[in-house]
Amino acid sequence: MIIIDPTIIEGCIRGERRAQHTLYQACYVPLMKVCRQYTTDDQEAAAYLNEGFLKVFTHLEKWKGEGAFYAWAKRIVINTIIDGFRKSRKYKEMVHLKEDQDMKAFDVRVDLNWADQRMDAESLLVVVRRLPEMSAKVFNLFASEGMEYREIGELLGIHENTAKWHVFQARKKLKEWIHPSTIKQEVTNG
Amino acid sequence: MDKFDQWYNKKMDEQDVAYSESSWDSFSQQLNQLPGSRKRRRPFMYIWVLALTLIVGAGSIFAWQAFNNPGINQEILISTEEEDSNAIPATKSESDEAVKENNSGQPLAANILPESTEKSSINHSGQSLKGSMKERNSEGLESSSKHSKGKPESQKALAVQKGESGLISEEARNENLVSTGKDLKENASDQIGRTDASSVERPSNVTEIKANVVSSETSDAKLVSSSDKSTEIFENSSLVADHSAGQHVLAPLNIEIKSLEQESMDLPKSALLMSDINSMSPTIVECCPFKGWSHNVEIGAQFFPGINEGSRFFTGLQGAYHLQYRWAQRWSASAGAGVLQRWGSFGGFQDSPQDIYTTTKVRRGFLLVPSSATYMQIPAMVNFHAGKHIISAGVRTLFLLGIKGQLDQYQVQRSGNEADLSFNSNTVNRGWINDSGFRSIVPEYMLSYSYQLNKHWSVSFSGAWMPNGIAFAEKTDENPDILESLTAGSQSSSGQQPFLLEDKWQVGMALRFKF
Repeated sequence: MIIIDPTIIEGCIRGERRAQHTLYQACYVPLMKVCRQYTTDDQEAAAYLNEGFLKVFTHLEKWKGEGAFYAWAKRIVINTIIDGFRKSRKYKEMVHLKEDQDMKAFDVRVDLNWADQRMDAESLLVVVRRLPEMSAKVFNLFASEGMEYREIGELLGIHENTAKWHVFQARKKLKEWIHPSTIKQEVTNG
Repeated sequence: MDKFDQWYNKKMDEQDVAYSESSWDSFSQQLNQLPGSRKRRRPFMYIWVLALTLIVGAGSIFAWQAFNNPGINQEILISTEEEDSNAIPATKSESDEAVKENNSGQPLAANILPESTEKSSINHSGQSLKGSMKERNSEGLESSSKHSKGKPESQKALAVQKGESGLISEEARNENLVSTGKDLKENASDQIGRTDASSVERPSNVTEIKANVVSSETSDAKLVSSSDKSTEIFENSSLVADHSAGQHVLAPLNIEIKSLEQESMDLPKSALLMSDINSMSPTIVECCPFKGWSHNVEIGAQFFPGINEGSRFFTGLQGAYHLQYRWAQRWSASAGAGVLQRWGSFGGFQDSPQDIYTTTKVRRGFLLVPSSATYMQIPAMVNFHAGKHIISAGVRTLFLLGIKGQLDQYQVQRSGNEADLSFNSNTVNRGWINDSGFRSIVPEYMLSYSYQLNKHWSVSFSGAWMPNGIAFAEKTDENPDILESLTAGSQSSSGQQPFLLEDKWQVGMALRFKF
């Protein structure tokens, strides 16, 4: 839980660069983690993060102090990412549908203890980023943000059932890719 | 929640992310470009301060002038009606001289009521005492020695006692009747002008006399209004009749009443008695009435060519105060200060692109699009006057106060060999923006033609050419194409790419008010 001193917020509203820097530093790491989850590489994550921060600083006066500042800022950053995704969605869907056709759908059971020992966060992130963008977004919104299918559907402009399907698909693929045989195969190929 | 999801969240929290100062540097650059920052709002305040200063300054100048020249209106009146003013003698001696010269043997002393003799007053026939202040102030003291000569004594003059003044009332004047006082007016109709002067009430005071004089004629009003001196004349003048002599009001007299202008025309130059005029009124400007300072306020529209949007013209508004000094009949110089606001997407774009490589190449960035510029203008012109036509040439210097615009965020994608492209742009914010890339001082050469509509108003048409333009970079034929640069672009780039999309000339028209 990140707690921000209200005086820093007030300083940011007044346009004080030192306060802005402090707030940026305080929120950078947790928000960057969020951005990395939703994006396909770190550069894109950094770009979205700064874009989100820009919106945060621009609309800082609208934050009435209700709830945690970090939660408010996080929501803005996620919305920024989703907005960007929706703008480029048509093209990306076209690309990834092609990939999707090559995928073999199969269900696997994963031993999470084993996966926890063998996979660190960065490895998992690489796997997540291999997901189709829509599926990755929906899965993150569902699993990390705790949003319901209906909310996700409204946010991304898709049907509720489609969102549900994306969550199912994402979860299935992640399990498949972190299955010992899959990992072994990738290491061999590498 | 699914166990896998919980494990996923736990792992995501373990991400190895470190704070990056370079990321802050990049962000702070974007923050500087953010419109509406407190720093950029200052120019707006400057505009109001400048406008207020101009108003207060102009007001102070007028107040100072009014304080130093309280009689300026009279001076203008006199100078524009030169002959009138010249025809106004102020002292008795000067009046006498004038009468002596013009009255052909009729001494002023005789005309001007010598005491203890037959009291007559001043002839208003225009044959004697023309232009005399006393005469004018005592118009009512009708009784010409000339007229009195061939008529009964009772009809010779209006008799008034010393210290009194017989006056011709407006009505009586119109009827060619002579009265010796206010009440005589009433009696005149009954007695057909034969009113015993003894029955005339003495005017209560000099003020009353003056009031009657004022009512007599418009041209006289000018004189009466000039000062209280007229009152003094009445009091000290010998233009009083001895009432005890028993003069009576005459029958209707054929008195020709000339206007002041006409009387003045009859007066030769030698009778121009200026010394006392000078003492009671400001100096008359006889030569060079055009010489001096004047104040002008103008407001106008300006038009700029829009290169990037076909033949469309962009517009601007300007307002300025000019102080003008005219040193010759045809030449004057003016300088002033004002504000110029110009609208239009006239250049100085600033792009902050950043390339991102995912499955495709994506360029994302912020584009700073200026939409209006606010300048303080300091014009300095030389003017050539030819009647109602004025041709001016000079230099106008523009001082940049601020740039307003919008911050657009864009995203362009290209998929390698595929031709599919997408471009998205949306406006993040609007307001005062960073003015780097624009010249803070812009000199212009101006040429204008003005036509004087009337005494105060004139309309002008102007053209201006600026040698350097308003932005630092020159206009380029090949405007940077975001999509082109994306195709051939480098891996990542950032920075500002200002370029100019406006020409260096402008035309305008303005309405000017001269104080």
